Amino acid sequence: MPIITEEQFKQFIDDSKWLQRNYNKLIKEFNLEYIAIRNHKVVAHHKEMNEFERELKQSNIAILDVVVEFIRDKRNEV
Amino acid sequence: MHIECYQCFNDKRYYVPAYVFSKRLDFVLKINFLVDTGSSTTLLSWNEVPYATLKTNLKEHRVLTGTGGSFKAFILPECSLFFYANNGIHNLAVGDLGLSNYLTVDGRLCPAVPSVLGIDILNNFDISYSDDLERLFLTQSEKH
Repeated sequence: MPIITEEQFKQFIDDSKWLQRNYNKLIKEFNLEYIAIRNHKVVAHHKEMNEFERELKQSNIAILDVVVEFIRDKRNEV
Repeated sequence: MHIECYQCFNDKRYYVPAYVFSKRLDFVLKINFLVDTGSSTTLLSWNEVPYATLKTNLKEHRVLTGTGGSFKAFILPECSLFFYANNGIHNLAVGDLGLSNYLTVDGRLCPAVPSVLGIDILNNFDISYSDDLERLFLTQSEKH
């Protein structure tokens, strides 16, 4: 079983809520890009997943320390 | 015990954050699942899973169909979901989960879609909506 602390989970929830609230603003800047969010900030972004993962690695950011989203306009999804 | 779901300001749908843990593959993912009673099965979407972190050859699951076409899914074996509930972290063993391929069976790129928490898992909860809070809740009674 993984060790997930309450603090880590609260950060995950908090950044997820921030993502949902600010989605429309993020579309304007990062449409069709992968973004990583930590503490209400976009800390990495790229159009290609491989490059995005490389960018995270180069910045010493663990994937589990960020919330990842592929930004797109979701209003036409069913 | 209840778990709060959050509305996205873009599509107005409700999402629930969860950690996905595969015991057999020994890895953890963070996913914001779309709460989707219209989906028969829970599925992780290819665009939300960093393939570099999997580091394994996944077995093929079954062929699933959406409005964008049919696609194969891979198996993430022996999974548990961890939700943040009002009384702390809630662990739910869910067995094998599917991960969608990025190509449809006829070779086209699948569009980016959210991972969905389908009715197979949502059946473990009562779903309620608070008009006052404008929030969706997944509730589980003590007997679970």
